Amino acid sequence: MPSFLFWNTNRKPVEQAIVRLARKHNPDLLILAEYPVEREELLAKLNEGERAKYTLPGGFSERLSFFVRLPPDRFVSVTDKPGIAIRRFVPSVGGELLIVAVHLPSKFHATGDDQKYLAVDLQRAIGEAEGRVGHRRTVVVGDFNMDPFEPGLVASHGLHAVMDRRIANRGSRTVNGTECPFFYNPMWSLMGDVDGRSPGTFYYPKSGPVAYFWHMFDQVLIRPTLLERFDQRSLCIMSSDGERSLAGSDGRPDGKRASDHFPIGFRLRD
Amino acid sequence: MTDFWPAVIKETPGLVPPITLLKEAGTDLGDKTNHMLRGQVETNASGGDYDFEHIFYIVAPALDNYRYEILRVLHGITLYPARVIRRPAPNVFAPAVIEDAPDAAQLRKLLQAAFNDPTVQKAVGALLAQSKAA
Repeated sequence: MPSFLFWNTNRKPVEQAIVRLARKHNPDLLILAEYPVEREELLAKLNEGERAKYTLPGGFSERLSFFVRLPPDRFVSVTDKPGIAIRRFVPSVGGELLIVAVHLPSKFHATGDDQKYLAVDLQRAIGEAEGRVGHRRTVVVGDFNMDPFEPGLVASHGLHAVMDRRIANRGSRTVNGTECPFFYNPMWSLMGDVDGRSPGTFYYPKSGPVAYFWHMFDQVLIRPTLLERFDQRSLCIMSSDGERSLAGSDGRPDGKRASDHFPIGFRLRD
Repeated sequence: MTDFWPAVIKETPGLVPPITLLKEAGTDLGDKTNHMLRGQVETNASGGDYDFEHIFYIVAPALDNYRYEILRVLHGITLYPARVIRRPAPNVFAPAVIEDAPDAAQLRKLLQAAFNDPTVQKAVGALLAQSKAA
């Protein structure tokens, strides 16, 4: 049952929190964005006293760091582009997966139109990689810097990620003569504060008329071929590292002590 | 029947398209690495402010055709000016470097500088070593 944890650490040296998260959730694949410290340093701390060791796979992604609890030959680089790292992931059991980790530019550095085009670019890169590996057992995870309802995530020529697995299970739809494959976006189910959980992964108050306050920038998207294996109940936003809160007293990500994003985690069944 | 177009349609003389320079750079990389690495150009009709976008990748055939994006060249229908976008700094949070070339000669120089950038050379060196070990 491969498990995954993604965290945008916002350039903060949060090794201890990462180690605690890893001890608590045991992710087979730990993906970090904006991690500022030497990866080897963190690797040593992650493996201290642990029987199942993490390794640092090859690849040249600048923004995204991977720590894998598998032999390096089971995690193979496919493509690196700015903010996009695509890897083949071969768990001990279950079929090979295509993992697409992303950290797209923030709204401080890109306009809404920029983000739409970047989503198209990402979709092309995923399609190309799926063609090369010959399957669509694809998981996209990371900081999209867009909410699930924004055009880059929803549009047919963008990521085409829908909130309803029955629609996703149709596989694809044809728009203007082009077949556009679906993703399922389970993050829709975590939006809002039901049961007192965090309403999103990132908090940003705006003074203008339209302010969402909470954003779900950190997401996982699943191709329909993996839907049966996706454990919806495992999907979570982590507001604690297991010992210490990653949130301030107001429940928002504590950007001073930790990161301005909360981590997310999920599992796939074997 | 009306001749809407001139009887002979000629390409603009002496005009070297950006894609030609990029393919040339790819071939040069192959020659200099004994074909352990090669360049690959992916072209998109960009739909943005520029009509065409060429993405230059280094491909490592021995590493299952792993692709690493180096830079992008964007241009309009007249080919020039062309815009080069790259992220050469080792600082992962550095913004992209954007440079414009008014003609092929200047684009050639920009591409030479980009491919000789230390961070690109570091990636090329690492890919070469990994390819030999594979």
